[in-house]
Amino acid sequence: MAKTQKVQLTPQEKAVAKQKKWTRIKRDKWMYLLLLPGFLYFIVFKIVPMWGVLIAFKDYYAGMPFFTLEHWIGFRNFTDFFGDSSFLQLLRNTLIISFMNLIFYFPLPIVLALLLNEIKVQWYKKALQTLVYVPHFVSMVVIASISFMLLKTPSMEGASGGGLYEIIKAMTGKEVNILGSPTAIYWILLIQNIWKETGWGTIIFLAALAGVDVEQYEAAIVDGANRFQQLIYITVPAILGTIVTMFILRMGSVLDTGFEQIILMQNELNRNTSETFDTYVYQVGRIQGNYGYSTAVGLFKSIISIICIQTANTLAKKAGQTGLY
Amino acid sequence: MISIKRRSIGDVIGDVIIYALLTVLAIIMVVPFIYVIAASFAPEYEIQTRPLFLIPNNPTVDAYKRILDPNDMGTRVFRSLGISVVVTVVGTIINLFFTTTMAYGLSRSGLIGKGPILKMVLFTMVFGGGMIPLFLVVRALGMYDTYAALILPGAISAYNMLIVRNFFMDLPAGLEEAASIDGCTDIGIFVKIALPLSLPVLATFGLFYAVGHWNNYFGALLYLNDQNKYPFQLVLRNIVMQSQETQTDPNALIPEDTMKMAVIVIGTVPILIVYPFLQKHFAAGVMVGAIKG
Amino acid sequence: MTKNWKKILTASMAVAMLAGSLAGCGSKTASIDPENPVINVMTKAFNPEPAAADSPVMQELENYLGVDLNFTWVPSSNYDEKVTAAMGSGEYPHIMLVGSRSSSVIQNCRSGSFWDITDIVTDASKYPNLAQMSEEIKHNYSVDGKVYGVYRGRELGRAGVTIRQDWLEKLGLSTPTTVDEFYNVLKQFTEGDPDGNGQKDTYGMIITNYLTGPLDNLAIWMGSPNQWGVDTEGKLAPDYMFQGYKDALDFLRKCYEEGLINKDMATMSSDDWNEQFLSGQAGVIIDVADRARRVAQNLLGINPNAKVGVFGYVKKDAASEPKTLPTTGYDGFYVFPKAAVPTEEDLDICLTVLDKACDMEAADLCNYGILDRNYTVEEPGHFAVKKDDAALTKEYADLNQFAPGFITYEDGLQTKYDTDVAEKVQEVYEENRLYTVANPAEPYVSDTYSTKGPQLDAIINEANTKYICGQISEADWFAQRDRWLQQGGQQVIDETNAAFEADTSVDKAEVAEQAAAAVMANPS
Repeated sequence: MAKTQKVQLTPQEKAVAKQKKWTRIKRDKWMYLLLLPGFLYFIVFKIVPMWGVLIAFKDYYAGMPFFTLEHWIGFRNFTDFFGDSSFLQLLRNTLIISFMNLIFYFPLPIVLALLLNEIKVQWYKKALQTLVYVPHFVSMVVIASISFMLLKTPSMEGASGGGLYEIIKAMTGKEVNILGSPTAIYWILLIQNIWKETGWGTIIFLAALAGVDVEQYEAAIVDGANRFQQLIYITVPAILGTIVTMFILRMGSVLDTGFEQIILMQNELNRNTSETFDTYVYQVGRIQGNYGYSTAVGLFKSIISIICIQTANTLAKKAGQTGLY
Repeated sequence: MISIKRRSIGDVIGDVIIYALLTVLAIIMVVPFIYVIAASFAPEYEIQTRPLFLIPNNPTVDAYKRILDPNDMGTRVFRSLGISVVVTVVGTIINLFFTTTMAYGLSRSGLIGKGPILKMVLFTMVFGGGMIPLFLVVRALGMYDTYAALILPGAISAYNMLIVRNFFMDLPAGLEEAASIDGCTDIGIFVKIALPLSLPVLATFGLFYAVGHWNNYFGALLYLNDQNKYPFQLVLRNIVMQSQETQTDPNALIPEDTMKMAVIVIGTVPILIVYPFLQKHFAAGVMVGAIKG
Repeated sequence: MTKNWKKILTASMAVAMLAGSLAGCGSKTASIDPENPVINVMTKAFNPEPAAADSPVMQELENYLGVDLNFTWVPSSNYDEKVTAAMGSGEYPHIMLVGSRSSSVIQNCRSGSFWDITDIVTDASKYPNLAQMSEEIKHNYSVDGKVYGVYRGRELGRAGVTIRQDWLEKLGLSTPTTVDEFYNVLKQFTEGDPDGNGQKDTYGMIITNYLTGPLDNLAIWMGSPNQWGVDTEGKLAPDYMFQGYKDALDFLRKCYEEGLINKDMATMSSDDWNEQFLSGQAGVIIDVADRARRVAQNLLGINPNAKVGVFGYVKKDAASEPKTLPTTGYDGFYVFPKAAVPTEEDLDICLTVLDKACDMEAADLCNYGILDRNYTVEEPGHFAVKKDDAALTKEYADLNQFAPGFITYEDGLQTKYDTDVAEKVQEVYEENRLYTVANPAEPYVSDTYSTKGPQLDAIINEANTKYICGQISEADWFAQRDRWLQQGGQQVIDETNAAFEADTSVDKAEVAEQAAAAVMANPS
């Protein structure tokens, strides 16, 4: 959808354009038929329930008659939220966790997929693929308990700590309380995430790699390109579209941190730096049952997301990519 | 396959590094799961006192006995397993139908109305009405307490659909043109050319959707009333809950930690078994060359 | 571009509003047929397979109650979401268990979605069992002083201390009865080599990042109120405004400094609470008394010579009255939604069902099944002996979750305990019950707390942990408490007091007389 220059059209030209439009619609009639089921799905299950966002402007409780004039409180849920002394802290924590994931985690599945693609012994490649997907199915509770096991500090003088704690102590001579550090929590969350999802994240890129035309490699080999050159000039460009799409979509969840993982790793020493929008909404909304407030926070997150997607999409297009829309 | 004629020393060293690195990674990734399996065969006290072990000292199959014994929880567990398999298979087929048709429809460049539809999709990906409005829609459509409620409300993931669309757009345009000259309609091209060429994509997103259905318990919890209809994961959650409930019966102590681990194993193994069968389709991309040539 | 987005937004909202207003129409509900009553019940399930509709026990129960029961068993882990969906959609059963008093539940009570049964259930001629509901517990879940449901009774005196009995014996100590003796036990467990291996490799008490549990118990023992107390002016104030609470913090701070509790208490996960007890590194856990049973069972596999003891409380000093921390005494309450139970006659049918379900016969059915089919009776003691057959157990699984169960019958079936510890736990419950300190503010809900609660709690919790670990000084702790007040705590106090004032079901003078203590000012 390249931007077209606005030009003044004569009525005649307009009529022609309109007719052209109709011929195009007619030409694509089967395409419309194809996308019809999906379109209806979005209307019925996504757009229709959208009135739920109005909860953000109400003093809502489940079962409140919806379309009445009562209980409207305007932007009070929002002003409560923005006016809250912890708002900036929550924003800061959320952005740190999210951007660390974006910078350190996002490229890893791509790298791993490219590495896996270099394995030419087919059975070994398949075995490796299967193994790296496994962590995706290990529940966060188990991952948290293993993290505690590895990182714990000694409970009493003379006792030993977790495996990683002892290794760090042996290497640096320092006794580091990783579980209780206000900043280390970010690295713990990141590494847990990398461990759990990198393998699973390769799937999409492997599918993209499977679509690369083999003839190109053959031609490149004839031209004398080495492995690295093949990677840079054939493989990466071939999956770049997928990478960009994934990146733009990822921008849409830039304020999503999830709550389960963080809550499992939280304690009184790192809570200040690890409380995010999601953990807060979980406590206020799910536990206290304050739906108006949590919907307002959700709405705020959505607006930021849509801005981020829009920005990423525009940047992608400027960089010569197709973008998402 | 790429024929490897000349292998430089650099290539060999590169290979060694890549193989070694990936092998180490694979071990790191899989050790915790082996721990989970080992723990599911260990008594609770062993789980609570031994760190990260791979072989239990005092192996026991108590947890599995309780979960799988038809006299105990077995009947319900196997029944719900059957339900989950059906919901997952039917659900995934429906997902793929809705997702690919819409994605293909939106992949045509210059399609009038494409922009607004895409924006609507993105809009719904970011904004959501929440639990109660969706519940009302599901009920109004008569799907409450039916399996349809587990399948249709999630028929398309906007995220997946947009990526699939991207794959369709990357298909060589020449193929479609050739087919359309041969007199195929757009639907014909979609069925005869686009889908077969996209097998890796279908396998990938089929897997994503299937895993989603398999692990979903929340939809069942919300939309189903009849406990006989409960799917696997919801029953497994109940098993974990039951082992946590210590108060009511002072004489029956179920080994909570062992049960938890066994539940993870039982819940995961079926989907891990299915995976290798899907895996062969991931390599199907070579067909692109074949058809073209 | 933005214009385009706006269009999508307006179009979406238009469709949504239109559809929403159509969906908003409710349907009229029919009354219960008094000739052939079918009662829909929604309650919690803990079993993967709760009692089926065709189970003999279920049919026996239906015969006894004189109604057909149609159960929706909801897994307990996500029970609240199901309640929210029911309230949000109006898709109600006749009798619905409400798990927690979320703000939506409270608003539905206030707006009249559920029957107010305050004055109905006190009629002993009509509902002899429901009339016996505890006033204290009813007050705990009341809304604006009114009762909207029938509670499921739970043990009030559940708190308890799990201890290595064999360590006590080896060191020549007896079960502690005062805080000083308790301190001495911790000291000896740390320094007296209780495992007799000649090495200093044990310590006293395990505390995890769930500090609140042990701290609240200690605070109560040392004279603090339970969550909220009444000060000398008759106003409610949170427990950390009172001296007893601070004393408990000081006690723990001292223990921490001397190494009597684990150095990693701030970061240890509460899932790992038992670990060092089982491995013989520590010997005391303050939590619920039933933890002792689980610990004892697991310890058996590791160290068959170890013995686990349990006790309910220690006193502040020899001259003080015993005090224990109670639970709320209920696990959810059954409400009667007017949308499903339109008339008073219908309500009467529902209440009668629950009233009868409290009868001894019904309670025995729910707990043990049918005599000679699911259990036998052992005399003397009138003990129920369950048949060890999973298929038979399934016939009455989770029916005890349905029964309100707030009445215990002395002449009813008794449970026989397999182990000494289990029996000991039961004794602890019974003794604890005599000395519980009620929370006078339990039913009150503050609006400020409902949006800022987690953040406010975090301030105090962080200050407590850091104070105990010696990371902040006493002055810092008081400063944090002041910060709590400034950031919304004062509003929470004001709103709670306003609710207290408005609650006409409470005799304020009596409450004040019972619990008056001066609030502890910031010394700086």
